[in-house]
Amino acid sequence: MDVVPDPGPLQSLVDDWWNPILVKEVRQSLRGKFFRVSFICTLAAVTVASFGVILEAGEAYERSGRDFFMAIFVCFGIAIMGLVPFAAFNSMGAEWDENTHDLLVISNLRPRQIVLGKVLSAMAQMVLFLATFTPYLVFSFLLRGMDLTLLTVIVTSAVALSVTASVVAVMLSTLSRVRFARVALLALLAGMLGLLLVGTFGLASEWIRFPAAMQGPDFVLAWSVFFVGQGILIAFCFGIAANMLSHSEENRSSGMRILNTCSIGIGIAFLWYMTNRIHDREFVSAMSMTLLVLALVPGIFFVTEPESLGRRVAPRVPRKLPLALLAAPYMPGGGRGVLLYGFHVVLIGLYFLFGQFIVPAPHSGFLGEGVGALIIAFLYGTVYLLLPSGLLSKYTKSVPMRITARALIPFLVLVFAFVPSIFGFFLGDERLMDLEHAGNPFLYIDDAWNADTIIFLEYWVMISVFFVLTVLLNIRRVFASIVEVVAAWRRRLDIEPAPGPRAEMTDALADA
Amino acid sequence: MVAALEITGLTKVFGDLRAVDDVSFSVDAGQIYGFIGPNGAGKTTTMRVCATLQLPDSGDVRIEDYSVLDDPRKVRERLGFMPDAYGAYSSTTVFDYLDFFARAYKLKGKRRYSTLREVMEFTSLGPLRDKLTSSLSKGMKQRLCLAKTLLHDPAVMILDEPAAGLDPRARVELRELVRALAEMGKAILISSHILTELSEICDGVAVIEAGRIQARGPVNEIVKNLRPHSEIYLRCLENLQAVERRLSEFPRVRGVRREAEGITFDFEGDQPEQAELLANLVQEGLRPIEFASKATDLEDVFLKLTEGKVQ
Repeated sequence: MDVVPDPGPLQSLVDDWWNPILVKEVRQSLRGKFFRVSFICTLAAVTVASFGVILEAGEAYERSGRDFFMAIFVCFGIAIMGLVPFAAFNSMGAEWDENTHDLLVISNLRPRQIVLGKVLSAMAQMVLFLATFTPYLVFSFLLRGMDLTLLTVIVTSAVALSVTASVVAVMLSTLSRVRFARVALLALLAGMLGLLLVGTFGLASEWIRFPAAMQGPDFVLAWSVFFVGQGILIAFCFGIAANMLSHSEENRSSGMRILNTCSIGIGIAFLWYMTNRIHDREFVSAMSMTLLVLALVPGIFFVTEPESLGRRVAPRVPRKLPLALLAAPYMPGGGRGVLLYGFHVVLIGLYFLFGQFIVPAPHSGFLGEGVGALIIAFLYGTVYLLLPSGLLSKYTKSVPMRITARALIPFLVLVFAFVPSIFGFFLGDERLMDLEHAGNPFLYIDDAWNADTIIFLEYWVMISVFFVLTVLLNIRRVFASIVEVVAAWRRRLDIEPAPGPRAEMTDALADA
Repeated sequence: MVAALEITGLTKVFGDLRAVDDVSFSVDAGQIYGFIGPNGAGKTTTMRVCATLQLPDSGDVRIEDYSVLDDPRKVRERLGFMPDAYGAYSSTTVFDYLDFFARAYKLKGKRRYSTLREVMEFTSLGPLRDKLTSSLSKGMKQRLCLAKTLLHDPAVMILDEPAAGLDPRARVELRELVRALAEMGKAILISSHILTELSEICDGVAVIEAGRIQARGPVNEIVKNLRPHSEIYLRCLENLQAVERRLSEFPRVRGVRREAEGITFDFEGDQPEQAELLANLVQEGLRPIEFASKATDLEDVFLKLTEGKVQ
């Protein structure tokens, strides 16, 4: 008998297009104990639960659709939002534990294919659970009491949350290969999944009790926010996981930067639509502040990157100078991270200003409520982001210093807020003790938001001085980062002959 | 001609430890190159840098002229790496394991199947097709990993301790496989502690200790450089005392010492001069019945060059 017989025509047609990790994981799962045992246990649990509900309902079983659904949904939820993400975490972790990670990395598989394969295999398991539960779900509908829309919305939300939780689990699993850290990450995941399950079950039971809450345009909007938010979270987690599996000399930054801009862009587009519906200046300010957080948090990673382009990125700088300069904020490097942050702030500022235009002016004049709060948030955010990263920019080439710089940014928020209070305790200054000082951004953001407390001029001066110092501290590295891009562009022109437009396009695509 | 594998000035530092310090050597196509050194000498680190798994702090490795720093993907397409601690997925059969890596190396359709067939035949894994990888013996696991390494037909193979833990039969079989691969034109860098195995198949060796290369080149050249004189054992039918006295009078003979039944001495001459010496001994009626130049093997080289320094 032939050891490896040739595939049939149908097999060779479809067989090659599957993600290799997906194929392997599905084969492994079907042979492995974890999936088989968990699948059988879940099936047994759901069967017992269904009988329990039917027996409990007695003769009124025909109207027990809601109770029946809730019992089924709890089992279903634990399976797809608990077991599936947990299996995804373990599956990624097994690559370190079984010493197969190195073999994967040196194969032709790209990091994103590996992550995608892991997520797809989690989804395959989820689909299998869904298929198993479908007859029970249909039965709960037939028992009456459950609206089909309600049932679809709840199940779809759970499925979406399962996908998100699986991507988060895979991402967490890539963060460390040290066993102790992995245990901590697993505990973190378990906590997150626990909260997710409790929240989902609570929300589902609320919806079942008050189905009217699901009607109307506001629910549709909330649901779309839910999906857009999950989409952004999935994209970020996916990017982080793929980056963690990449070679450290690879360009790990550009993709995340593009993703950051896209998420802010999507956020602005969505908020623009909402602003036109809600017509509230406070909403515009609050959402601008949310967008600012979306620029600040990923910014922590971008502004603390090593300053140089790296030997693999420099030769890929676009051949045309305007393109190279436009692409500069999206190339690796702390200075270019500052540029990107600046660009995002401009985008948010534009949304804020145009938001003021389309919302009718209230009594407070052209700039409405929350403007001061937004400005204060911007000043504080910029100082916290760029002061430590600017001071440590020369040392971020070393990994420990980079981690220190990244940890320092959120840590400084706490230090500036609490250290003056400790001094206040010794000096007997109650205002300092009560965190009423310039180091506490939340106090002034809150004061400015409520507009009922006067913010002293000296605080404005203090934070403005810090802001100017921060900008001055970072100007040099921003300038140097642009000069480096120009130098790389010039070097590329010297080395390579001018290409046709097709090559330029291919290059740009490869960079993206 | 470009060397299949070229390591130039490779340095890798972990904190205060210079794990690899300015290592340079090259391996040509069809050559088997041994990489020997005590534990912790820097062999695995060097190999991992070659396999694009670690970045050097300075220096470079080029595989068929592609740099591990600039073109890691091109390098990976041309390189087969068999790590010392390789993994086999749990709940996976031999076929599934190889099929997965064949897919990972982008082999499609009939080509994937024919490659799997060839590789399984070459490594004699065919009969174990449906066995779980976890139930394989150590030797069979090594074969499986070698089969996986061969799937994309790499031009350069890096084998880190492939013979570790194998029984003598499995070692001989592995040696034959390695030899067959070299005959196919593959450049092979192999590290092992079983030096007798290496000396039989290697065209050259690099000896590394404390991150630095102590010697490199063809085994016989290293031996020659290490020991310019040969050690000769002589047994004659004549009285040993007379033989000893006469030998000491010959030019190029040094350090004559008596052993149980014969005499050992150092001779500073090449093989024709050894033959001339033997002819003279016969002519002078000393009636030699045993005249053997003691071979210096890789083990002697290793012991001579390394001091067992641990970093």
